[in-house]
Amino acid sequence: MPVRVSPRSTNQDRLTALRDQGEDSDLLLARLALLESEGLRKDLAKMGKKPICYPEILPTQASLRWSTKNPNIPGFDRVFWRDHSTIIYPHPGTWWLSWDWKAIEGRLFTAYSGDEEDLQLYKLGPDIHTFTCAKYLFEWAPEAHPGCQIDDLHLPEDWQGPEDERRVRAKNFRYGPFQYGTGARAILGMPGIEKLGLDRETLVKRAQRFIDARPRGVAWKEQTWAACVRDKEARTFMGARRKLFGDADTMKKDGLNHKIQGSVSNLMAWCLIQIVKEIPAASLVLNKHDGAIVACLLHDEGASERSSVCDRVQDHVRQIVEREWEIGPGITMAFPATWGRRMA
Amino acid sequence: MLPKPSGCQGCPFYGDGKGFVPDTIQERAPVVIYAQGPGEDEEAGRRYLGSEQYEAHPPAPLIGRTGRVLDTQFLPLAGLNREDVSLANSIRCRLNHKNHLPPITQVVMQQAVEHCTRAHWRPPEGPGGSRAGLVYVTMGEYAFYTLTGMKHDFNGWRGYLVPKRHPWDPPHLMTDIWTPGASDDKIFVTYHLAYLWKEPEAELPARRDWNKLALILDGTWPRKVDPFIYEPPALWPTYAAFDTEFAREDKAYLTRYSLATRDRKVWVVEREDVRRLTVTPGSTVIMHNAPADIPHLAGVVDIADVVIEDTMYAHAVLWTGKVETDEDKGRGGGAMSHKLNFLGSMYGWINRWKHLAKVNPKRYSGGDGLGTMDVWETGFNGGLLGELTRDPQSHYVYTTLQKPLIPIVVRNQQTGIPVNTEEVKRALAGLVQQQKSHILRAQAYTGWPINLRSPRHLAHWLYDVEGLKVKRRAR
Repeated sequence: MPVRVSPRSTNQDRLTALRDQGEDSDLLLARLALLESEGLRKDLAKMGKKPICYPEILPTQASLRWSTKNPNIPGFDRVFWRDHSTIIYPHPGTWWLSWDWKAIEGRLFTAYSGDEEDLQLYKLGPDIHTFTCAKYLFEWAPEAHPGCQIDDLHLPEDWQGPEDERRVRAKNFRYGPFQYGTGARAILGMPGIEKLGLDRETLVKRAQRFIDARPRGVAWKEQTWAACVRDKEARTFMGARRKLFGDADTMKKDGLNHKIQGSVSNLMAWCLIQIVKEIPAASLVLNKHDGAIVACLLHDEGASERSSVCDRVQDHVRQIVEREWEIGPGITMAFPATWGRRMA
Repeated sequence: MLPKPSGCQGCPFYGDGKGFVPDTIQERAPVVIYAQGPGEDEEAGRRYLGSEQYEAHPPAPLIGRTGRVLDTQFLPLAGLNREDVSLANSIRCRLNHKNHLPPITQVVMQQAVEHCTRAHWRPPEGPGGSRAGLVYVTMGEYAFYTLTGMKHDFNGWRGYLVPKRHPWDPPHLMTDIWTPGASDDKIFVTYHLAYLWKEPEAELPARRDWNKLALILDGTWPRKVDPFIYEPPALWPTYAAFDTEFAREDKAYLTRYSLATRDRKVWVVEREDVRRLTVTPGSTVIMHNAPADIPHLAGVVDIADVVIEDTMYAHAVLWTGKVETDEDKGRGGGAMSHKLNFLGSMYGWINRWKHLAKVNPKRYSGGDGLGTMDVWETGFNGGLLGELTRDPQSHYVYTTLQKPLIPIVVRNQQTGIPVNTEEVKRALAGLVQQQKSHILRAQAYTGWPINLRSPRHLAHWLYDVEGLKVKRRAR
């Protein structure tokens, strides 16, 4: 009897690929939903047993990114935190200060390459993804320029702010074809792009217009790719290397990713080291790729004084986290963050 | 295509009886390269010459693209050429004339391998005329199974030597770090070279393996492991690797520690023998994942004046990439692990010790100490320290951005995070409820009590009933 061998994998990657290509079988979606909640369920089951958890953290993942496991608290999704933000809290006598860098990978790309429109957008606003959405993806305001007011972008009435689906797509539009992709046609392979209601030709045309407006980015990317293939290694602006293997396309992709993501990891490491050096009482609670929570001590101040002490600590940490760096030749960039506090 | 010989009858892969690919035996060759199974070129009888050129050749193992890579890139690393090696496959035909094989964990695959080996494998004579003392290079999981009988832990053994044992031979327990003698058959485990197309980062370990083959052949690898000293040193060494074993359920409970110096002296100290030792200020202690060991080190010596180095952190700086975890067994992709077992295979002078955790925990512990020292400095090419010295930028990143994270991680591990257990229970109850609704939704959709956690049920419905297929992305 012949032995049949066929690719019938049901692992998460395969099922996600099926979903992303538009398969909407209820079984497929139910299985994916179950899979996505399995890790969380296991972590919660462990966390419920002891009053203190000790996540294992390591700064040794690809491009020196951090991993957290047992439990993977930074991996809990946004919806979970909205409903259960109090499952962890600061030790008595401490408070938490958190930051999330805003669009740090996009800023790094611009800082390496130096396209004027993006440099100005990061300095003057408006929000870069809303701008991309209005000027390039939907062309509501094809003449918009950095520093313009939000009204100048002619956003539609049903615009829902930072969480608007179209803004999320604009983010993919920037990162896909331009920052990490190989050209305008990469837009067609992006998950969910068909939901925008734009035909393929229009999508490619608009992606091309967006790319054409960023000649330095295109040139920098080409140079970086060529160097990756030639040297078989890529380095961040701080010097962290990644040796590259495989065919030219793999080397280009891994090398460019490393230059950006490895730089974020380097910045995270530098900030944590600097914070602990300058504020010895501070300690790391949790971190993810582009954000962290540090614990700071509370003293015996009254409530009114406490607030100003926290302000001072936050200002100190902000100076470290948001300092300006020279990244590309003659190009400096600061990395602003969203800040949060949590009292014991 | 060659017809299959009568020995193939009864094999579950017999198929249409065509496409046999016999071994290529070089009598008196010291090395046998054992691959997985023939590809299209081997079956059809054509040799790949590079640049899309072929020539006619009788069906034989490794004459296609993988064979070309072997001949031109990997055999030279071991100082060998094709005439120095015999070549064989675990399976000597292409199942259904295709490249897909069932995983080695499937019984039918094991039956086919065993049938093929019994029917067709005849060990060649080695250089001295004996059929013992050969080095077998097993490329991939199928060859690994054929010559060791092991279905699991291929990645754990890659880069190391295993005694030869066919699947039908009685099992033997490996209770020590194996240093083979000249007359022992040696099974050297490495990736199948075709795997490098799928996982490019496996190239580095693969290259190191073939470099190491030269050392195996000239008898310089692995080095014999001298007996360990089972009592604490009188004085803490000024430059040593340190490793601890602790209880899994209570990390603060130290079971034993090991220390190893550059001159390969190894101490293994049991919990009851642990005592405080004097350390010379400025002494260097090398650890693998120091945050796990530092709390125990602090119980033995005053760590205030100790210089700490870390092989895991240093390796992550030098060789960052997709990380293969032990949990994934390589299936998740990536071959750039930072685990000590992997690093031992890349830099160590001793054979594998990481399989001894349960059967010989003291040798395991001493192996960790010695392995860490090799990985840091005394191993191949000066270990990680040698590599850091040769690359000043990586040295800078290690000393200024990576190593200073160690005390930050240690403090994090010691402090922990308070948990509101009541809130966790509420969240968990909600999640379990949500998962039940996914299961009910799936059962309502299929119309039968499908088990949403069963890959077999899922594959049946998605691929047989619904006929889903992954399409290529539009370009």
